[in-house]
Amino acid sequence: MENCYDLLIIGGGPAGLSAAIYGGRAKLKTLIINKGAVGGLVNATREIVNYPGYLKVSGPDLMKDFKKHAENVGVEFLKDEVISVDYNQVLKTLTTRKGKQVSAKAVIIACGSEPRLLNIPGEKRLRGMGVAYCATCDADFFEGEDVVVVGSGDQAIEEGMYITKFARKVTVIVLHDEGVLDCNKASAERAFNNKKMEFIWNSTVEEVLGEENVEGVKLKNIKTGSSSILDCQGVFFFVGMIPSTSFLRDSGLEIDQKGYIPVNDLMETNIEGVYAVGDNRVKYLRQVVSAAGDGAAAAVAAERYIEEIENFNAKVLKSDKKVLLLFFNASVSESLQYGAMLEEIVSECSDRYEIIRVDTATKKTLAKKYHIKDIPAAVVLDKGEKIKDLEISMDKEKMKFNLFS
Amino acid sequence: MKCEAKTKKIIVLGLDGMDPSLTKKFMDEGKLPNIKKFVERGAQREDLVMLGGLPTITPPLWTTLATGAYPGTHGITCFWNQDHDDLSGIVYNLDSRMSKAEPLWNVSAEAGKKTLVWHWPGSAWPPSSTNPNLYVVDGAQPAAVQMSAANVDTEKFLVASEKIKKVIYKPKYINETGAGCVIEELEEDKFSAEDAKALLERHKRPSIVNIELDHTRGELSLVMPPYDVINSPIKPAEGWVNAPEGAKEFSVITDNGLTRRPALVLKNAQGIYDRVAIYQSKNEKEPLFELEEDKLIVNVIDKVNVNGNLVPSTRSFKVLEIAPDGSEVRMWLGTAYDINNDERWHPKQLYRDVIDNVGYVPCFSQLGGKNYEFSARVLQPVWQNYAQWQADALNYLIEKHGFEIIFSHLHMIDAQGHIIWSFAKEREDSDTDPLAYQKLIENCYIHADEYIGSFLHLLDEEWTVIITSDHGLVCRQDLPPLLGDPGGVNVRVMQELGFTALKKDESGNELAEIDWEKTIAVNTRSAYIWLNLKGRNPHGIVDPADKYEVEEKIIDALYGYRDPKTGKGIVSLALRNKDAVILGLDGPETGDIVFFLKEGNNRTHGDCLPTAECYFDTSISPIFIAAGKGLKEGFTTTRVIREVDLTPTMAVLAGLRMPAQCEGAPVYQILED
Amino acid sequence: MPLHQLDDDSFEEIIYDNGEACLVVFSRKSCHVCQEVVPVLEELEYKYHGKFGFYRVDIEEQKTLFQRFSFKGVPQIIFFKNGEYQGKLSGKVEDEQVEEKISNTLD
Ligand SMILES: Cc1cc2nc3c(=O)[nH]c(=O)nc-3n(C[C@H](O)[C@H](O)[C@H](O)COP(=O)(O)OP(=O)(O)OC[C@H]3O[C@@H](n4cnc5c(N)ncnc54)[C@H](O)[C@@H]3O)c2cc1C
Repeated sequence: MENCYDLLIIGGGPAGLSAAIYGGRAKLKTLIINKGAVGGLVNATREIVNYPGYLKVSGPDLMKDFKKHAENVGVEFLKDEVISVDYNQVLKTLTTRKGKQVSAKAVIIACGSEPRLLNIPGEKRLRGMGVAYCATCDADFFEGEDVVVVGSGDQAIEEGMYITKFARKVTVIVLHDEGVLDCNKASAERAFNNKKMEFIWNSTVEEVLGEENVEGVKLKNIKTGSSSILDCQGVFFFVGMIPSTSFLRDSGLEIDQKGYIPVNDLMETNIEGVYAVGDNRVKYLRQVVSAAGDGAAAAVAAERYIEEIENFNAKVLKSDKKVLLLFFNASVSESLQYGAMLEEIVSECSDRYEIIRVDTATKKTLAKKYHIKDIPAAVVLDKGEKIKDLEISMDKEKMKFNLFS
Repeated sequence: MKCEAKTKKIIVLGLDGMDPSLTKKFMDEGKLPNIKKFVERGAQREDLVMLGGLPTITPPLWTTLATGAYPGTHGITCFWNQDHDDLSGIVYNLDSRMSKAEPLWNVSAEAGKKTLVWHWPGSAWPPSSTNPNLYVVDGAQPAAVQMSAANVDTEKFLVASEKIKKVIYKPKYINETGAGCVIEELEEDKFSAEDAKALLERHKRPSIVNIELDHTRGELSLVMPPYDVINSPIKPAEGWVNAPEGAKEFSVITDNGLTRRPALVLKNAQGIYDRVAIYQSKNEKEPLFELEEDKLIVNVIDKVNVNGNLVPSTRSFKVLEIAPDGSEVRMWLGTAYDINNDERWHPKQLYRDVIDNVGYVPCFSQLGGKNYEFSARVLQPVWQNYAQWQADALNYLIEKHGFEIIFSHLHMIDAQGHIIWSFAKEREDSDTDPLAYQKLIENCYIHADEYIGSFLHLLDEEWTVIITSDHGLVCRQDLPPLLGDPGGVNVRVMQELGFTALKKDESGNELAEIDWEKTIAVNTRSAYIWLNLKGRNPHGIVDPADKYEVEEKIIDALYGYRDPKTGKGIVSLALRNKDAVILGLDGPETGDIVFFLKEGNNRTHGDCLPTAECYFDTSISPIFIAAGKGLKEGFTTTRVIREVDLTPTMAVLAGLRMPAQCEGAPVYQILED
Repeated sequence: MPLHQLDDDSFEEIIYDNGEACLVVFSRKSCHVCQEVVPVLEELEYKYHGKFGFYRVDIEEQKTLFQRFSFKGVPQIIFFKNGEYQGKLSGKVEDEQVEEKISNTLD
């Protein structure tokens, strides 16, 4: 099948690319679907000084290396955006904006994040006419002019400092009390010493003013509630990022309130065969190096998972005996006893059955596929086709009868 | 107070910047026949002088003329008012909601008199009475009707030539040299387009900060305001559906660079290129319109592209030159006005009425300055045309609508004053010909006389006509050290005196920003000095207990200051706020200190006493001429007529009550017994 | 396929003289948002071949053109039909927005 892969990766940032490299090297048929330029958010970073092995590298250059590496191990790329997912089958299916459907045994979500919009009046209307989100792109248009930076995180302060190379003055609008910035200490110190940088504390921007071009911003002091107007020709918004996971909202995937996906050490989500990595997942540090690490872990976990389902399929389909799928869960002691009993029966009485144990704690998809609600449960398959649900009884004789009548 | 009416109908012909000294000079030379007739039939002082109010600035004084109240009382204290939260901030003032005094037009409307307020740049817009007898047209910007709301594209100058290689559209260009308009290369601008635009559209902003480090952001910015420059190659016409033989083509770029109209240079039967035809596109058979050299074409209707919407608008053109061989064309394109914009007309149907019966509102021009050709061939004729339209419009309204009280204002003299007056004198930085410019000043007064002449008939129709102005204008000496400019904070002298400090960047360069931690006081909005007072100003450093003493120190320092160039003092008068009541300039809207520059050290107007005189018989004084019903005929008085006296005089003439805050007194001496 | 690049002369000719319904994207190499938007247009161009023109202006190379429009940032996509400006899109845009604007322009 042309549109069928072993491993699908949504997002081509460092997390997705690292996963792809591991996937490709494990000889998985791997596809990255990425909507923007390959490299993700890193493309927007002028300078990276904390990625091991590189003293200093530009974001786009580093990502070129990542991409080359991925291509080298046979990874395919599709430039498109995933807009919906179906995780209900063993084979997961993704639909793209351009209407393409692709499916795979495992999916890694590596969609990263996008800049948050404040959705205040003027923000949208004056975009490109003084409202900007990218210092590298637009800072030099503000040569000799007054610029406002909204936000005080690493990005806001570092980009703000870059803008001072061009602007006459950069005024940073900070939510917090005087002296408190969200960025790292070193940046804060440099910013405070930068004569072209000024700070307005306890304030937010309520509106961007101007007819054709930005002419000023309306500020609100959140302590006193008073409003004021600050003249400027440019406004750069750096008010944080939000994970690009909204298209996954109704997929059954667990997502927290902020849009992050909880995972375990193996990057496994609540759905079997679906992994979340990089900036998308709940985690402590969101950096290129940790994104790459996540990608590696997820790819390896996916590889194992794929191997398992392949094993399972091989066993079930190739078996000349009937297959008894035995669903258990370690926390339900009854299911363990029942399993032991069935195994006993089969080994005592016949070679007509092969037993395959299915742990419902991890193999949720299989449980779902066979509509298993309560455990213990068992299903009889012949050449992969289900022939019956086994009626459950803890009476050994009755079970024998159920199996062999 | 109310008395028997002496007249039913009064029209005030306000001419911004009209100077009694120049008027008398040209009148005595026989050049102003219409004004002479008014004077002969009227009652005024021999010298035509009205004692000017202070500061000698448009919005406060037109407000005074309409209310009879001093600026300290009505609260409009300069071109801008003070932003009290930020001493470097200034607040736009052409807004009636900021005036605390009742205008006479509200009184007359409420008394049942049909009253028209026409482009009065002093607390007229928005209308402050809902009385249906009150009609108001614009006044939200000093220059001309429609400029405050309907302008959709700024004025431009085009140079097309076979020598020009590519099409260039340079928005908001500030041509400091006054030379031609060929853009050599993309030079780094001293002003960015944004700056220039901000200068042009200051009136659209409620509040701005303008820190003046030199004269370019003050007085000088008025001499040569920015305009758009278009350069285009001229080539043989190519790809046209219907281009006559021998036609050459060029491009006209408008609408912020968005629109291009292709144009042809055409030759006559003798083979001389003498016309320009502008087309919608090369696919059209017929041009939109044709232009001839030296002919002002007004109010051609075209569509202006405003953010992708095509807005039907008027535009005016004048071709200054067509080279006989068609190798060069130079032409002016006026400001475009949206023809459907009636925002500044009250009631709105007045707009339709006027444009249907008198014609579309024509534009004015700001080109000129050092460029004599622009001054003589664009600025003046365009204003002359505007004045004619305004006279027609007022006469139409008088005739058709039965108005009884009219307050009207024409900006023509002041507008040209800022742009060309200073060149009536030899200038070090300019090779302009003073005599030629003196002639332009004379022309401007002749145009004013023509305008005034359009109302001469009213004297025979039971009208009372009052010709007046807010202030005069002078052909200044050299600009003074940076103090007293009305456009914002004047840094230099106060910095030298140690009262104002600027911030510096890492490398020690000055920033155009006040360092409030080190600033004791600032001079802002021409005449005013504010102390940076603890508890009152956000970053105040002066203890209120020391206020009196600091004021004294500043006043002494002002009087003691010497212009480094001349060694002479530059301040003629400096008073504490409480003492400035003698000038009508006390109260919360002026400053802790009020001061004025000495005669000879002043700008075109705005920073000195109203009695100042200057080169070429120019003076800062406003004018007062009154004639017609209720007034003595051919009468002169020695009475000092003050600006606050206009309103009470009109009230007495028309039998109206005095407006609530009126502080003047009727000029009894000129009233008919 | 890379978009056809315009300079001062070809801008006049294609946008105004030919009056083709088209868009022009103003971009620069150092802008990563442009690097995302331009490929979107490149793909759309294929779809609209023969119906709608797609052009590019590099603002580093064509300073006069850029200055003429007084833009404050890139990318900017401006739309024309019959030589008349029809509006613009600024900053990061998705293909749907571009297509919507194209269909408005063609209407
Ligand atoms: C200003 C700034 C500076 C930074 N500096 C550094 C630094 O110096 N060092 C460092 O280590 N880290 C830095 N970071 C953090 C680093 O960029 C991120 O942690 C890292 O990029 C996360 O990688 P990712 O692969 O998870 O996501 P991303 O890099 O965001 O990539 C996600 C990709 O997925 C695509 N995508 C999203 N949704 C879909 C969809 N539905 N379908 C298809 N594709 C989709 C996106 O277009 C994007 O290409 C910085 C971040 C910022 C904002």
